[in-house]
Amino acid sequence: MFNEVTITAFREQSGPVFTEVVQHHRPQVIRRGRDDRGLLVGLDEVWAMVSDRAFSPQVMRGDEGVSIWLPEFDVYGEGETYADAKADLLGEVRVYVQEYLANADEYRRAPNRAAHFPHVVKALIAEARGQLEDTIFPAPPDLATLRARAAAA
Amino acid sequence: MPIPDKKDVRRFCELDGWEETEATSPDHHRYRKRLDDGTILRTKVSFGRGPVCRAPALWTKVWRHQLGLNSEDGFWEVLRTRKPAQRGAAAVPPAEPQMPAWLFEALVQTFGVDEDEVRSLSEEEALARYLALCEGGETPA
Repeated sequence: MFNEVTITAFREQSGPVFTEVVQHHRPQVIRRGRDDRGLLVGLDEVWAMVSDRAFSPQVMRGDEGVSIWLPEFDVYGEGETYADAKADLLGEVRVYVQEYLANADEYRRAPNRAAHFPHVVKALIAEARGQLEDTIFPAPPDLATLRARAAAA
Repeated sequence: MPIPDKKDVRRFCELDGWEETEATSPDHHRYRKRLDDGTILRTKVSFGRGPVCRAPALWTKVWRHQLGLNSEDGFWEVLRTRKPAQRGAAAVPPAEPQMPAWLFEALVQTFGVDEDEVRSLSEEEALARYLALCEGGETPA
């Protein structure tokens, strides 16, 4: 098996293995017993794996304040202003990611939650990198794309 | 139909057999319900009084995606009959007035358009305004 160590060997060599994974970008399979296997992989590599998972927050029109719905997690934030609603939504994302990971065995099997997993991982890494806000609220698409969209509407 | 009051949604959760979770939240009640097929529903109700959310379109998202109902009537039916919700095939969702957050943010923060004015725009109108501002055909506020 490629790059596989036993859990015993990993305990004894965790420092060098970690360096190999994070600094040299070589994922490492860790095996316990015959069937339990985990993968130790650097944040940069996982970030690249989930790069195609985008968030698409939607602002809802109402008579008072601002509401933002995040379809990737089925959560929302609200506030008197856009900034308040945005901060509220980011708080909801943090609560949801914590809840999902605390109940991962169950949530990953739920029909309406299983597909959230890559986005949960993306939000988890974004928070670790200090980029949660920019990840949940991406920059505008390029103008050519928007002109085409407006023309098609 | 009006957006329900917070106490209506809390009552709904009680009648429909939701558990109140202990998730970290200083200003919300949080509820969760597991359906027989493994679906996990979750919602929140902020403390205090008044409508459960601000925008009618958001209320549609809440009853459909968070409460897992097929129709808005299903919500009021639970309150009226005091029996758990009947969940089945979902109806075709109505169109909802909304726009991408980047578009809202760009108009307000980059071009200084008033938030209330942006909220009054449809997505198509907002996009046209954004393109006009980007291309210099309109003077920023």
